[in-house]
This record gives sequence, structure tokens and C-alpha cells, in this order.
Amino acid sequence: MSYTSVVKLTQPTPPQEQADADQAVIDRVLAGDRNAFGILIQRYSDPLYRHAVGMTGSPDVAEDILQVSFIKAYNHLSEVRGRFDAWVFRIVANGCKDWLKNIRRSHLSYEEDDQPSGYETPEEELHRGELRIRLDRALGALPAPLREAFHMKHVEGRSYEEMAELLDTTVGALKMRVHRAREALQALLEERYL
Amino acid sequence: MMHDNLDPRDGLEPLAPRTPKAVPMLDQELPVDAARVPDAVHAWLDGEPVSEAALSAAPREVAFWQQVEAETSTRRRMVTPAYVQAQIMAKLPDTR
Repeated sequence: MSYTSVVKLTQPTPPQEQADADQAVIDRVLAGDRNAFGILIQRYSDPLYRHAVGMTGSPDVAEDILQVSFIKAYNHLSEVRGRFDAWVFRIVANGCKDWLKNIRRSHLSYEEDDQPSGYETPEEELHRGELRIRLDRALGALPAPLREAFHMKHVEGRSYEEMAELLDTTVGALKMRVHRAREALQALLEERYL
Repeated sequence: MMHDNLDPRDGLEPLAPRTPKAVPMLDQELPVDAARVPDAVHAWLDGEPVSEAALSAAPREVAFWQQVEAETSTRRRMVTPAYVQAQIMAKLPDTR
């Protein structure tokens, strides 16, 4: 068996040229070129969308959060200091956490919903792998900080250093969260898969 | 010093929870001793150098996490639906 590392890393932190390119677009928008904002949406929507889907478990909700977040970013664009991608990530991440707080207050649970996944019909779901469904459920059961850390590491493929920068915490704290998330997920799934 | 309010919902219609799923567990509800992921497996998953012998001692865990990785790798390719960008652009205010 080969033991190559299973976690793929995304591209490293955007280089200075990328930050400069973003700033050039921001300058255009601030000068009145509203359509230039589409460049930033195009550039960053996919990783932000993946993050929102991972945190909420629902593509519909992720779309809403993405939409509201980019509008917020547009309205506050003059306040960007530093990297745009990190700034807009924090807006989306806050939106996800806010949504999760509302969900917790709503007292809804799996048992009150007959579909284990929020984004496919029962017919489509039949074609999904069993692990995929169970992983969705297990991820949905994790506390938000653990789910966020696991998703950023294993799905978004970010380095601990990048995660620490985006979440404004330490590498050690994030490693702890990811490790705890793995152990919780393995506990939730091991009866079937181990 | 004032800090930016990065709440994405500020000034906009509040998001109503849609298709809610599981209620996240509180930290104290985590299964504390149900699974023990070997340190070598954590290190391997973190991309750190690990001896093959250490991983060979945990074949079930390695197989499990390879399955999980196969699933997460498909999620890594997920892209934003094409209409979302257009919807966002349409909702931007005309004046800043």
C-alpha cells in the first residue's frame, strides 16, 4: 500500500502580484467601475462557496451567504486593508457562523427532517455514495469550530499557517481542532467503515 | 478604535434558515473516547513525514481516511453555480 499524503494543498497564499491585481480591481470599483467587481467575484467565489457549503451543508444557504457577503464586501470595499481574499473570507465565515447560531436556536434536528441531505432530491440521493451521505451527517453534527477547521484542512486543502491567518488564531489551536474533528468523525463513522 | 463590522447581513434582509439539518453538537457532546486516531495517522494526514512502519500499524484507520479523502477530493472540485455571480452583480447598488 502506498502512503502518500492524502490531504492536497491548495495553491500557496496568493503572491504579492495577486494582491496587487486585486487592489487594482478595487481601485477601479472605487472609481466607479461597478462591473469590475465581477472580477473579484469570479476570482474568489469558488473557494468561498465550498466553505459555505461545507459549513451549512446546503448549497441553497451557501448561495445566499455568498450573495449577501459579496454585497457587503462591495459596500465596504474602501475599508479593505491587506489581502482582499482574507477579508472577504472572514465576511463569509462570519455569515456561516451566524447562520449556524440561528439553526441551533431553531431546535430543528435530523429527526424532524426526512432527508439526510439538504441539496438533492431523494432520487438523486440514491446515486450518492453511502459514505458521502454519512460524512455529510457526521460533519453536520460537529461543533462549528471543529467542522470549520476540518473543512478548511481536508476539503479546502489549506495549510495550518493559512488557516491561522484567516481565522486569526494559532497553528497549535487549529491542529487541536482538526485532530478532535477527525476523532469525532471516526467515532461517528467507524461502526460502518472501520 | 472602531473596527469594521464584517457581519455580511448588516443592513440587508436577514437570512432565514433554509433546509436545516443536524443541530451541531456542543463540545461536551463529542464522543470523547470512541475513537483514537493514532498519532502517526494524524501526522500523515497533516502532511508530515511518517514512517511506513508506523502507518502499517494502523491499516484500518489508514484505509478509512483514504476513503474519506476520496470523498473530500470530490468536494474540493465543487464550483459556484454560474447564475450566482449574475445574481450578485444584479443586486449591487448602482451607487456606492
